[in-house]
Amino acid sequence: MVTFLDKAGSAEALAQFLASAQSDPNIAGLMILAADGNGFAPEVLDPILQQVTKPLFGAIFPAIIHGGQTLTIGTLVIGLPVAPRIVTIRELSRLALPRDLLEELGEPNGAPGTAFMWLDSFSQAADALLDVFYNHFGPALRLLGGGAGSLDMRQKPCIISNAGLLDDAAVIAVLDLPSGIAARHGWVKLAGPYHVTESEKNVIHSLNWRPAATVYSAVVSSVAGEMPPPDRFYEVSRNFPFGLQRYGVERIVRDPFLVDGNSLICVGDVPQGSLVDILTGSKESLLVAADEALMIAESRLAAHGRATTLFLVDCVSRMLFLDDHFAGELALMNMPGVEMVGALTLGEIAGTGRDYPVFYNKTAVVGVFDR
Amino acid sequence: MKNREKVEAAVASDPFGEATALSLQDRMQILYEIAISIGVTLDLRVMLTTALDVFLRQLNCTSGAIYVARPSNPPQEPTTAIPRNLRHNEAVAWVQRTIQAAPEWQEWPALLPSLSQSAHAGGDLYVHGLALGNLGFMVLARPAQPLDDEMLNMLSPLLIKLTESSRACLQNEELATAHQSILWERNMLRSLIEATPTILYSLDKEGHVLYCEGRGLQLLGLDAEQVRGVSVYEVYAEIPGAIEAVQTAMAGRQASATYELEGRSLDVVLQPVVDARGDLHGVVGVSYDVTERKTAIDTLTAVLNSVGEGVVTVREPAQIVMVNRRTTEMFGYEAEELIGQPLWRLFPDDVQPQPSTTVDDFIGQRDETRTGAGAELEGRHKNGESFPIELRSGSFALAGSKYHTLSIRDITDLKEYERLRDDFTSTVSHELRTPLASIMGWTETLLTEHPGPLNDLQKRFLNTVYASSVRLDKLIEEILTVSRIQRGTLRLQPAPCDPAKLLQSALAAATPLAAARSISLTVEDSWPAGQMVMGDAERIEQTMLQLLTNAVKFSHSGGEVVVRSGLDGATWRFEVQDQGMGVAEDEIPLIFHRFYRGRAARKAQIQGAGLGLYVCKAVIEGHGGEIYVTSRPDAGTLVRFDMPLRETHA
Repeated sequence: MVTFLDKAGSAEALAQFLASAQSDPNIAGLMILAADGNGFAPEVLDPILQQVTKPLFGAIFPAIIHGGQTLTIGTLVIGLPVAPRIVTIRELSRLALPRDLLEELGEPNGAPGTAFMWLDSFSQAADALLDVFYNHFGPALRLLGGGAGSLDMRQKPCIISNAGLLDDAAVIAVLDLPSGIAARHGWVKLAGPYHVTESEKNVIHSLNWRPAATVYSAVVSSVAGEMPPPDRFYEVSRNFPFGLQRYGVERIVRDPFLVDGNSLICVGDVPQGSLVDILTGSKESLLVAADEALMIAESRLAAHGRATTLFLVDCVSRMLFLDDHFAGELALMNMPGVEMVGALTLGEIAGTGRDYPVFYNKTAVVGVFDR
Repeated sequence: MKNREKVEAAVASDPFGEATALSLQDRMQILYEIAISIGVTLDLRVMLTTALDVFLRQLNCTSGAIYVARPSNPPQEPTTAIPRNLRHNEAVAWVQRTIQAAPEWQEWPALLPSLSQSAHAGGDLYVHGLALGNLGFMVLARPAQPLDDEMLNMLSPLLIKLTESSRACLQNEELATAHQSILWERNMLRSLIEATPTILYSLDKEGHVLYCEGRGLQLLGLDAEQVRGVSVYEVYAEIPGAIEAVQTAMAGRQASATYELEGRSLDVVLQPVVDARGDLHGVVGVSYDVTERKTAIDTLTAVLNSVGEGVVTVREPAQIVMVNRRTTEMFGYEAEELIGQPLWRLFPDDVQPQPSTTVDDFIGQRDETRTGAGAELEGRHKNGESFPIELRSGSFALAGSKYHTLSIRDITDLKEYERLRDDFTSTVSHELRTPLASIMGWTETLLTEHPGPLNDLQKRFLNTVYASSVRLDKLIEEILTVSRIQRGTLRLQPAPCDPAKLLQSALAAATPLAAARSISLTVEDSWPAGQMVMGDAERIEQTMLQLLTNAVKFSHSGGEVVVRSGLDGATWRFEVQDQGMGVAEDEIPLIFHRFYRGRAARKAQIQGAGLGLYVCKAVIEGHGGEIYVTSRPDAGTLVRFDMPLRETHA
């Protein structure tokens, strides 16, 4: 893979690189990861993107990762050695996703393949889109992706396509490239389980038939002291996410980032009727988990080759939780001879081919490629 | 480095990091979500898909499928599967490999033991076949590690719940199908009720309308809601017949009536509603609007009653179904006395046929009495007296039965008139013959010139008188012959006679007339010499001469008449063929009637009384033979008789 990094995050630099990539025979397609701090807007970016004839996809994230560094301003363009087959889905939150949504992507060509899935995290359609994806491809494709958008919690255009910059959208790109993918978070059970007695998609209204915020605050305050006012809720809640139990894997984390009256708003759906634990973590446990993810990913690629590119989809809340230690997490993964790229996302997607694909929170998803 | 070492060790023992030890509470937590996902709907496919999705997620399986045996589900296809794209569904692939051939859905129960197992499916894939009672099974596939035994055991109650939920869904499907069927039938029935001019209603024991539907209500200007709850005795207050029918039904017997309401004619059939113990709960009724039908029947009845002939409709074999007024007048019966009775009631004992005789047979037996216009026979009045009738018939088919319509004319007056005419004719003819014999005798005497010589003019006048007398004598003879035929007193004198000689005699008599009109007579006589026929030679020769004379009379001058006589098996066949003016087809049945003269003959002013062929027919049929005519206008006529050699009829 050929990478181009513009730490200034300017549209002009992006345009220049895209123009040169157009004529580069080693580049069959392009993936653009941009930081929200660039302030990219459709009126500026659309003309640039629409001039590119090679297949192109990408997204805007709270931060991007390159070479062990986190950049809140900057643009990373990855020149792909194989042409991606891309489908762009618009009006994601309003759409009852049709079963044949991915028909145009066809079947995997038999070789090991990997799909990237970037979606507007505000669309709240990750689980539905994953269902459509898995019903079409099953475990035949590895899957790597996450939620795009901004940490300021305002929905804005964040999905990059040949048509321009889109909001309330998703992009799926299939590449004929083998990969090894793994997801780990390192959060462990603090209390629970609690019965999710009322919920709507990502909003939990009640736990054990009591107001969700009351139950949650009672548990967390017993450990972390008095809860702050609602406008500073996430300062504490980012340390105590929910966990959904699964057989044979780590719990799936759901991050409560807002309190709305007695309801808790999470990143990702929490099904009504499910049992959730309240989790906690330490800097050590998270770092160990990230390291585990890398090791597992490498082992899963071993049959196809040796890692030369590492793609890290890491949760932005891990950065907020680990604070200064987040550099340590990146350092763990920064291996000699391996180019490290990635993004800090609002929810992570992983389909390893060995389990059911999941939309995670607070998780480090590692993908390694031999090209 | 301490962490890295720990991780490397973990990955080495469990390369995929999935063998996390689970507490009982963790396991219960996993199973709880599966449990609550089962049975969330009664739609089988949706219910199973929802459950399978949660099974896969909670147990971290990569593919799964559920097979339920039911007729509507192709047995080789899963009822539901995830991934839906079966090319990537390892669970379905394992089932297909395991069962080899596609079974019928009824064979699934026998396959369940082989499919209910945990198996290593190749590579690092493991599958679990989990039986759903005798309904089917679920297959879950996961790589790297199978579900542990503890988890498999803990799944048992969930599989029971899934089985019972599936059973409930299947029962619901059956109920839904039955419900759909009932709805369909109800809608069909409602459409039928709404489309036909019928009123369906039910009454409680007191006669209140409980239910009322049908397009017939619209025809009466009524609304179902308007009628509901109303007492039927109020609705029928002015219609005693309808009230009587309701009371009969309320007494437990079926009843029917026809009545008028709001200007419409209605037939009603009422049926009591009685339970198994015999208790009456009310009455159901069907009213048919028969206004149009009744109008049509009334019109037809009026027409039939206005005609001067009796009209009787008979259903095979001979049951009377309708009579008009003239029939009742003619035979002295009321219509009700005749309807349903055999037709033979209208005929005297001496013509009563066998009970199984059909109308066709009966009419056919009377062909000999047919005059072309109808069969003449005797009818019997209710008082036992016989009277002459003329019968015409036509037939038609209706609803698989054959019907005859008989038109009956009382010809008593006609017969009396004919008798008077024949008596008069006979009397007058006899009275004419005496003076005519005197005229002919004295004329012959004068022509012998014994009384004195005659000059040429006197001789010519006397010859004319004589010729006219001969013609008059011949006419009187014909009239007398006809009179005898009518009275049945014509006597034939059979004796062996030679047709060849009879032909020669007839030819000799006809030749002068033919010569006078320049008509050639061509004779083709193939009669075997010495072969005799039993017959009245004089009458037969008279007949042959009549046919020859007719042919000459109706031929154009200069034409040809061909005469053929020969043996045809045991029959003497005699034919006369001319090239004359011919007879129209519709006249052919009539030319054997007394006094009938064809249109062409009248137009050409050819002399004749219209008796010749009538006598010929009587003579030939008196010998057991038959006479025929074939003819075409302006092309000629062929008259033929066939007479048996030895049979004679007096």
